Parts: sequence; structure tokens; C-alpha cells
Amino acid sequence: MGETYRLTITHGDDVGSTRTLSLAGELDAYTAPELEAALADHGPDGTRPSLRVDLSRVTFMDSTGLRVIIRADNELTAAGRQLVLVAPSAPVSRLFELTALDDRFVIESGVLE
Amino acid sequence: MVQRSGDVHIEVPAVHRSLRLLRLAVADAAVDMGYDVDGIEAVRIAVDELAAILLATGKWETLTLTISRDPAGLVVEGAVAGSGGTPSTPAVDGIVSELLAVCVADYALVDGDRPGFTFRSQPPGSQGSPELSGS
Repeated sequence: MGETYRLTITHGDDVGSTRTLSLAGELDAYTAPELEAALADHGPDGTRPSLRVDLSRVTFMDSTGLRVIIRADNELTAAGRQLVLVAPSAPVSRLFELTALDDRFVIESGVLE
Repeated sequence: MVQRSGDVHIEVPAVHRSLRLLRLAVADAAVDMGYDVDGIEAVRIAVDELAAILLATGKWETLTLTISRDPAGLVVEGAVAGSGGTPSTPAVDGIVSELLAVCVADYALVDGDRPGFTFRSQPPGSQGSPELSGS
């Protein structure tokens, strides 16, 4: 049986210089490497476009997933790009609030089409 | 911890893939005890983070979870057993994980000597004075 029920990562179409990723499922120490790999495929350092990540269908996220997102944000910011987190689900929002990171990220409330 | 007849014991392979099952087990116990959505999410985070800390301490064979229900709420204990040794790829920052667990539980303690963990969670709205602890 496959593992896709745990975390599904869907690549959206590029819009201008922005790429989109939609996540669905659980982001924990087991699945975080999948997101890490997807972000690495996003392009080599220095050439990465900005990124919008739809978190509306993430049903669980722990500190491991949070760490991957922080790293991506750091790398994009260093490259002059932006990471936008879109419509974080309640469990994700709660983790941001617990860690006081909700003010650190650029967060949009609308779900990606 | 005092063992009760209603305790739930779960033994799973000591790998990250098992975290989901541990979260499901404590969430189920929390539902039975009338926890609300926030309370259920809190125990899911606590067991996930604390178990991930244990997994990062070595290459263990099994992780055992004991879930007890008492009038004050849920008491959850975790322990690893097996060969130990150096973990192949430490995937968690233990300090961040422990801080998160302490934030969402009424009491959380990681014992690096066993190694194991204990956390206690009261249903939201219940009476009692929270304790915070760690090692």
C-alpha cells in the first residue's frame, strides 16, 4: 500500500515568477523529508522563484514540518524571493501561534485555486 | 505510574512511521474522555513531539505507549527498548519538541536515562493547577 495518504504534494502552475505547492495530509518527522525533497526540486539556490504553499488541507504538523518551512523561508528570503503560506489549517495555525511564528511568515487566508 | 485495568498499551516499531499510530491512539482516548477539538490536538502534538525525542536518542527496536485515564485526565507514558545505539539521522530538535510538548500538556517530562517520557493532560475547562517540568 502506498504512503500517499500521509502527505500529498501537488505542484501547481507557475504564475509569473511564483510557483505553487499544495499540501494535503500529515506533515511530521516521517513525511517532512518528502516536503524537503519537493522544495529542493523547486530549483537550485539562486534561481528559485517565489513560492506559495497551500496549507489548507494539512491535518497535522509538528516541529519537524515547521523546521522544513522555516528553512525554505530562510533560503528564499536570502535569494530575494518570498515564501507565502496560504490558508493554513487550524492545526497548522495553532502550531504557528504556539511557537509565535505567525508574525514571522507571510500568511494569506484565501485558498489557492 | 499505577497500572489500571483500563490502561491501553501499544507497542510499535521505533520508527517515525509509527508516530501517526501513536497520535491516533491518544486522540481516541481523548475523544472518549470528552476532550474538545483543541484538547485532542494538544495531546496529538504532545505524544508526537515526545515520541520523536525518544526516537532521536538511538536506534531502538520498539516504542511502547501506555495510556491511562484517571479523573484528572489522560496520563501517557512512552518508553523505547531494544538495541539502542546511534541514531542514523537525528530528525528532531529535542529542545523545540520538548518545549512544544510542555506548551500543550499540563505536565511533560522526558527522562533521558530510561529513556522515556510522561505527559499528563486535563480536559480543557477542568479544574486543577498545571505543572510544568522537563529535564
